Amino acid sequence: MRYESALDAVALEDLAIRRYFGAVDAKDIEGVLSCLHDEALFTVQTDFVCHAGKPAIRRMLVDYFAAFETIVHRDFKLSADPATGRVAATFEGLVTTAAGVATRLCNTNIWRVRGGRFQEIHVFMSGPNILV
Amino acid sequence: MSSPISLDGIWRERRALVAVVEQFLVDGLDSGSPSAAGGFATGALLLDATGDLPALSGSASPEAWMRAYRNACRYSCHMEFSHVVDAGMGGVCSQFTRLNLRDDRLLRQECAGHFRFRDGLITGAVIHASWPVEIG
Repeated sequence: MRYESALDAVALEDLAIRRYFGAVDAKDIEGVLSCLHDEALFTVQTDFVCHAGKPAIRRMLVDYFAAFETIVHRDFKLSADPATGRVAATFEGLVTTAAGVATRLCNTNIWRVRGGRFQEIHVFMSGPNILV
Repeated sequence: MSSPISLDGIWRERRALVAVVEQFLVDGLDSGSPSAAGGFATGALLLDATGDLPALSGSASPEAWMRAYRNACRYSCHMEFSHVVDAGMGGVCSQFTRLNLRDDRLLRQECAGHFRFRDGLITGAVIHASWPVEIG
């Protein structure tokens, strides 16, 4: 599915990395949700999980943010495709529980943009799904 | 306004990058053509980030990757491609479905491969695959 998007490469990177992951790492639920359409789809492709719509995504984020003391995403390798309104990033995720148990992941996200926000987010994880 | 010539050039470059990726997945992994490794720069490595196929865990050269994959899977089909193409930065992130036959079980996986390019050749890639679902 291709959607209409007017974002250029710089704007796609800004939305995916600074606004979206910036809000995730800050545990800012409203900031994350502001990047999404109301009926956005969030799928974890490696685990066949789909969170459909903002209420379901909000519930997933509440559980995710409660499960980990710190959440860090870094070392992004980005591909931005303004012609199709898509952007992808491979990155390292480091999540640590309050007890100090750390999990390191190498993930790839693919986002599909409609207008100026995400319509679809597809996550490919290197380990067990933590976005349940 | 961009001229038709420059637009054509942009789309030709996109198609060229996508062709290298699909050549590796379809001609290389599905058909076993050694020439599919020709799309990689010397020293290029592929990282299997999910480790579903033990033979592919960690990083390997494209040639070693193709051998290990072909040894593990008697039948393979990569299909339903959807590409994110960043011609300027030299990146292609491909989303696709993989069918393969292992231990007489036909399996389906949802996959992504993020390929980095320099001068038209792949310099490295990270592959993710879902856990396999048996479909027959």
